[in-house]
Amino acid sequence: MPEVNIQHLDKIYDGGVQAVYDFNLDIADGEFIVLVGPSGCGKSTTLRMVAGLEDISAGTLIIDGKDCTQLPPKDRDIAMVFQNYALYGHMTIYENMAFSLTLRKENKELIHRKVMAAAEILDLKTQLNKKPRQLSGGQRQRVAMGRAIVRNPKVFLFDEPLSNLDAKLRGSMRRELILLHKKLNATIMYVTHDQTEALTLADRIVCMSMGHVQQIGKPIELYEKPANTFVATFIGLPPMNMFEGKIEGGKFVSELFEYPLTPEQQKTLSGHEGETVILGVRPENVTRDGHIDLLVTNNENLGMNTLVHGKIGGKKIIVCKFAEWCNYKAGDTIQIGFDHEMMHFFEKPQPDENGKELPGKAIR
Amino acid sequence: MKDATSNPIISSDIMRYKKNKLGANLALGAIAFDCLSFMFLYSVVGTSYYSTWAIAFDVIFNLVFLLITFLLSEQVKNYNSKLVILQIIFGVCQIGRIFWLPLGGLLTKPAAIDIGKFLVMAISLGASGVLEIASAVIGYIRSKQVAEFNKKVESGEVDIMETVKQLDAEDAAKAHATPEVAVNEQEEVQ
Repeated sequence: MPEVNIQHLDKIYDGGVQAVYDFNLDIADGEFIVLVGPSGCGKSTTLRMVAGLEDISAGTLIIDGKDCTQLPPKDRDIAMVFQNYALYGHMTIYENMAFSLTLRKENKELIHRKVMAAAEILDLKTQLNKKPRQLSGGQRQRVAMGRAIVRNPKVFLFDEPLSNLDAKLRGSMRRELILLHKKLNATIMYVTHDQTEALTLADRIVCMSMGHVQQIGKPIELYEKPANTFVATFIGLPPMNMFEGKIEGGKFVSELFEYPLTPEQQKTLSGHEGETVILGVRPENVTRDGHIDLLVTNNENLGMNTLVHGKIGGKKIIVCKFAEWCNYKAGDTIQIGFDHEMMHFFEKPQPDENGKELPGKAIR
Repeated sequence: MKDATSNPIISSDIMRYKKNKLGANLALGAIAFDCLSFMFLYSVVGTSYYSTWAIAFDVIFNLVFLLITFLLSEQVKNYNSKLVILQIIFGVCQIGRIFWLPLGGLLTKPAAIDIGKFLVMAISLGASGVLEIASAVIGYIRSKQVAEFNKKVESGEVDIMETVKQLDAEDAAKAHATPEVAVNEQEEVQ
């Protein structure tokens, strides 16, 4: 039985604005699920509905076999960690961590044991007598996590917990979160707009856009087999290069270049002969052994690799990521090609009945 | 889980992270009772029995008592036992004050205060003194406990995390054992 079962979840605000459409997800016991997407895609709203902080307009939420759709937050056996930590400034770290258990009127010694165990896991033992203002951002976030851990909830909910931290600290906290997940074997729902966090932390990623789930899968699946143009461009840094063109006579023909297809690709695209499709190629899958002329506009050396920005046919700007140190100058022309194994084809995005453009589905 | 048995190591360790609220609140109680006593005393200062100098001294003593006791309550809260003697002196003084202005006013002819007011003042001052002394005693005992426990922790004689793990393991064992015991009992009945 899944630990969390979300079926046909909708969120419609009073004004009629729909934030989440038909969200379905089964989360297994101990699974780390990351909800990722741009701002306003409905990921935080979904999390808040699971937490009970937002009413569920339609659908059902089952946690460990119990229907929690209409239950108040306190009865759902979940713990939430917020981006802004939400610590009580006048309490010590110990009191902050013990707070929820104190409210439940738990035995003092039991509270102490739980707080000390959480402090040990999070390396906060020496900070317990301090006030939140005396701690760094990373330490405060660990306290917020500790407050969740002591409750031993069925599900942990994290709402962009690392967004307030600087890049270096975010990296170390990411690693700590992975270790914490392993130690606790906890079921976690984690919201972020940072795809690096999503790719590194998740057992499975739920990629959302405009209230709709675009794809659910393992990080590698979203990276290697994106379900549509949205996921293809959202996951991966720099984003995937997209080219519009037609399939004609075993070639991908765009106004800027023609590119031969492998027999396998021809077979996959056989139903789209003469149709407009989108070709997607990740910057790291651009090679320097092709026949397409790229006019270099910028060369960014990042140490272990180089990002080369350039134009094809004087129009289309693309990014290439070469796994070595390159010294191209603006105005240089280089020949590029694409790794055939890593070329992605999508249908052309079509507008829905409301005129909103839907992402083009992957052709496989 | 609310009926977890008391463990001396855990209960001592709790003190390292919790303030001595009982000790501090007793000291604050002493302040409250002192206020009650001088409210009644100063309502009768117009009578000729109480000289200006006596009232002036009493006012100054009250001010000093209120300030020092408040500061001492903060010391007690943080398990600092250095000024316990001062607290006890103040406590004794409070009790001694019953026999000065209140009792003097009652015994003078004609009586400056009635028996009712005297009793309220005597009880207030007495309670203030007792609470001050109790705060000092509790503060001293607990501060010594914390200091001794800290020494044990620092010397490695006591390992908190080991104790926590041990207790968690015991609880887990109990939780697992309970259904089996129930099954065994059922079998015996059958």
